[in-house]
Amino acid sequence: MEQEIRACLDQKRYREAFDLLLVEYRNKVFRLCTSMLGDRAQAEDIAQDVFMRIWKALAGFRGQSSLSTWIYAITRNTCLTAIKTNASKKEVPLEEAGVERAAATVQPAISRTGVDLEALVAQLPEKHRQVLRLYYMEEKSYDEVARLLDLPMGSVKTYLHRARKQLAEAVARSRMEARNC
Amino acid sequence: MACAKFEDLLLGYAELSDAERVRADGHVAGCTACKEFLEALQAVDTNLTAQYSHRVLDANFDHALRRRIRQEIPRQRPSLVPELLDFIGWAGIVALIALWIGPLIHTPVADATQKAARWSAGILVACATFVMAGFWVALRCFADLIH
Repeated sequence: MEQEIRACLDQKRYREAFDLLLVEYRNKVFRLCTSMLGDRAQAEDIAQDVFMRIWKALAGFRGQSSLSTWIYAITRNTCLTAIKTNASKKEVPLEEAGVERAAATVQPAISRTGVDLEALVAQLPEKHRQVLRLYYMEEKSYDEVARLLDLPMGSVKTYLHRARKQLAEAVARSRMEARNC
Repeated sequence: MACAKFEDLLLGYAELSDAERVRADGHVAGCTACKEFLEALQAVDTNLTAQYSHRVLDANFDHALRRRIRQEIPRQRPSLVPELLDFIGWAGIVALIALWIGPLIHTPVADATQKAARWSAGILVACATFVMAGFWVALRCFADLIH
């Protein structure tokens, strides 16, 4: 598909190239946005911003990097800007905001594990959180997570290892406490 | 807390080789802490997979995006100004060259004075052609810049 898109770009058929690119990358971009922002509605808005940026910059794409690398870089930068804007808008501390947001969005996780998993995920360090979400969204592919977040494979495995360990310990602890009560 | 020695093994349980799995299972069977840790880990995996997998954008996304593109980036029609200037410029140059060469070819030469006068007029027209060509090139460059 990337070759088809590049062929369209070489022939200055930008609209056609954009249509192909949208089909190929829409869900990847959305999942990357979700992993970085946590909130589905905001991820959808930011994914739209990402594709607007891509549309505006498409004629200037010189093919120095692969198309996917270029698209994911735009996505990460757009998400980072959104995260900064979110942080400057909110008066409450980020950790608290994450817990509130998690509590407000996902409830089913509580019933199966005994704890609010999304709230626990929200309390993880930012990189751990992003890697963890993307790992489950991308069908547990380390390679894809590393590519999307532009991280070395070793870092992805380390972050994931720590995040899963932290969550499993919290769940095990919570179950033990429930049994003792 | 799982036993430190087995923690890594349990965290990578799904990817263990047969020999490693037998070793891990053997330990888990006799260690309550590791058993609880493994069960918790599997619960975390199951829940987060259910929660995050198959996340896709809904069908309205493309429609909303295209509407936004239409609103924010109005379709640009290519400008005809440079092409029009090309036409006028070339037409002008051809006309001047015809004006210059035409009399030299068709009019019979009368005497030396007339011949000199004709050559002077020819040089004047050639200079005018050169100046006009220069002016046209400058105008065309300017048109390219702004259109």
